[in-house]
Amino acid sequence: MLIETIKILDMMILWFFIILSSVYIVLLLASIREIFLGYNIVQLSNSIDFMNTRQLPPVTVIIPAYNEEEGIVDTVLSVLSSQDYDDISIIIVNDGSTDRTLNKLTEAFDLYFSYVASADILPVRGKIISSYRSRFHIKMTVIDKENGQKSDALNVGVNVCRTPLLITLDADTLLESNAISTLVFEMLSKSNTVAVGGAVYVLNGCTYDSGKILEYKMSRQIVPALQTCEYLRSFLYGRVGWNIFGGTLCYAGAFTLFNHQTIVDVGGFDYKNVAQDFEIITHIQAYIHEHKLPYSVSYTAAAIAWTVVPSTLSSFWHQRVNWQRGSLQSLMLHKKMLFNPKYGMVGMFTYPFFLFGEILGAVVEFTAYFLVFLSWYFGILDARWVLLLFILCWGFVTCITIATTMISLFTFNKYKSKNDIAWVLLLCFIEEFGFRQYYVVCRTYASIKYLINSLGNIFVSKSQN
Amino acid sequence: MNFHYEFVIFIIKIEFLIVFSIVILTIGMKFIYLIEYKYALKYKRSLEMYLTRLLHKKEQYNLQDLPYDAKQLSILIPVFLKFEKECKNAHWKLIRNDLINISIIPLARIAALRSDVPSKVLAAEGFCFIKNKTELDEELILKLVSDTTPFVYLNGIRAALAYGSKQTIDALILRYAQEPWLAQSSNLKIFNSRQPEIHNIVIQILSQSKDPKIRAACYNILIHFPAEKISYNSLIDCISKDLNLRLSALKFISYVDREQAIQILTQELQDSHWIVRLTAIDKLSDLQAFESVPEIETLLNDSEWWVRLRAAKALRSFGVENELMLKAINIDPDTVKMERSALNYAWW
Repeated sequence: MLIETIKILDMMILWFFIILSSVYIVLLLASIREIFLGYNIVQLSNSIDFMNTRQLPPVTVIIPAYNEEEGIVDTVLSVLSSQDYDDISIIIVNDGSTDRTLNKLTEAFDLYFSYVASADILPVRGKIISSYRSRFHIKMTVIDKENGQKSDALNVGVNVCRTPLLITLDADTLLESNAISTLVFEMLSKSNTVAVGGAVYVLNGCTYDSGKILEYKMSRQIVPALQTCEYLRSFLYGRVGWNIFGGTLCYAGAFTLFNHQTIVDVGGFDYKNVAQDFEIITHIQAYIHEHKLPYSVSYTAAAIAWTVVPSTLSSFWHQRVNWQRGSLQSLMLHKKMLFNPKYGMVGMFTYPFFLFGEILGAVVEFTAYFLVFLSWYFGILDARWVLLLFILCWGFVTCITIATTMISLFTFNKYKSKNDIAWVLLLCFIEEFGFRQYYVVCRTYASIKYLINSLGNIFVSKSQN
Repeated sequence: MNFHYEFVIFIIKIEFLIVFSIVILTIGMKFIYLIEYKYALKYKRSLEMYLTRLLHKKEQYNLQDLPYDAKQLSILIPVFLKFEKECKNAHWKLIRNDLINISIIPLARIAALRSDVPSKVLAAEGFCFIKNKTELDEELILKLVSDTTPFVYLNGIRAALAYGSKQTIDALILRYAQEPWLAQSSNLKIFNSRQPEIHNIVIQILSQSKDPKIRAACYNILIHFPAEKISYNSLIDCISKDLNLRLSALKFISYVDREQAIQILTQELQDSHWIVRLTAIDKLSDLQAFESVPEIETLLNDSEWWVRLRAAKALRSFGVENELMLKAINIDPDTVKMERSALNYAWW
């Protein structure tokens, strides 16, 4: 009986990965056209020249910062160096930092105390302590507040923001000089677009100074370098491919453009969710469909930001556990979207894929590894099944990674040196032996922890009733 | 079971083949784009050489002689704009008019009917140079202004302004009314130094429309024309129930009629809404209305700190110094309250 069950599960898992890989292929095909269209417009057609900057909407960049003394000044300088876009305001929200974040900002930008009016539209938790403006840059505002987590800091920024568009930017992220104009261009060249995600690359290993990246280089440390492959896969094809299906459920919180009014309409960023970037986009998607609004979300691989990623396994673990838990929390909050035709393609295709493919896929893979062990233990290990599984899990993903690396080489390629290109291609293989399994365990652990917490909360609330 | 595995292996082979094909396709697409780019540059150069030759030899523009491959808006417009910017040659004025009438406008008409965004944007760009007005062109411009893509209607607005008929200005104002963010002052600068008949059309629309959003948009536009040429009584809108209309009317009246503005703004200092009080202080300060100092001083006791602060700053600009004013200007940060919608005070 047990053996039969194992064999049935083996087949189910195999078919799960076949379906998953088929979806990845569809996304890859869909992404090709979008990537080259973006590349063509930005690099070859030079449509940015047609943007009459007098007519463009002003943009506010909101930078929430908690203990970011290392990189905050560079981040702000990179925003200020966006020379092809005139009307940019910056709001930095110091979210109760215990290091010298505020001091660094004061020294670098000659801040002085100034009153800043703030709307009471989004509820905030951390009280505002003080506010400052810069003598160097008239449109820079710094808000010092009590710690309330990143979402709370973003909500404060939204309350103070007075422009129709706002960009959320992490405090350890540098922008390319045309990143903001490319994001805005993507929004303005499509009807009723309320959010546009940008591409994020790995900053670790690059040389930069005063907010400008001087040399694009892959990190020689293994942990950040492996994440480069993952970011390339995710940002150069994963999100782009979803454009034709109504947009993805997740953009990089490190760098996304939003319509201000839409953020206000959905109630701002959720402070209860650590993956607030996932939650806000999912919430916007749900809101759009529930209110039957002709809005959409979009993504462009041409708007590029560079962010610092965890450089040790433990910090990587911590980050990904939070992401997995946050994503699950958000998906469960909006579970009414699942296979619900009211939510269009997002409900029928995108949401189920994220739930079963992206989030639970790690659990399925972990189960597969466990079944391999179990099969070996019971002496029923089918070598063919194991081989097919590894081809589907590892081989296919390696193939996709190589494909996206090649796409990257021929489009927005930032890594010019042959060593870096060789390093990326080598990492595509190395990733599958050890790092991937570590990541699977991490996500499975996070999913189980979330499940236990949820069941615990249900049990507690029932016993209270 | 064997069949099952055979089938799975077949699927896997197909998938790997597809991925491999995608890589080949990628390489192919890059080459296609590079070739397109190379030819686009070549066409631009040949057009530049042609126009330079015309200027140098003072020849007339002849459509037949235009390099064949340059007969595209995406080539013509950038080159045209380059010559517009750099060329002060008197002969250029003759060539440009012919270029516009014979090539740019006809191509813009075709491009305006296409569905893709770049074509429509180029069409709008082309219509910005229009001189000879026709009904067909008006229709196409109206279509561009009412497009749902921001990039298209932004450029459509410029074309509508260049065309300058009542219908196009009407459509343009409707757009401003529908998209509040367009009413931001830097966007409205496209109205600076426009022909006087445009402001007459705006005043006409203002007189006929009862929609508060359209009326507010008209006021916001009119303050970009020379004040001495504008004559319109906005008193009734200065007491409108619609807040945005009231604010726009107050700004307008401050611009065109100083005496009447001071009278009304002084009354508005006691308005129940803080944003009206704030606007009144700002405008009285801009007008240097010393006669309103006693009324502004009463706002040093206003319930809202930002109104007290603004009143204090206005009084300081008038050279007034007193204890109450100093107290208002040195407000304890703990009293900062986020109770009001500052978004109402934003530019939209």
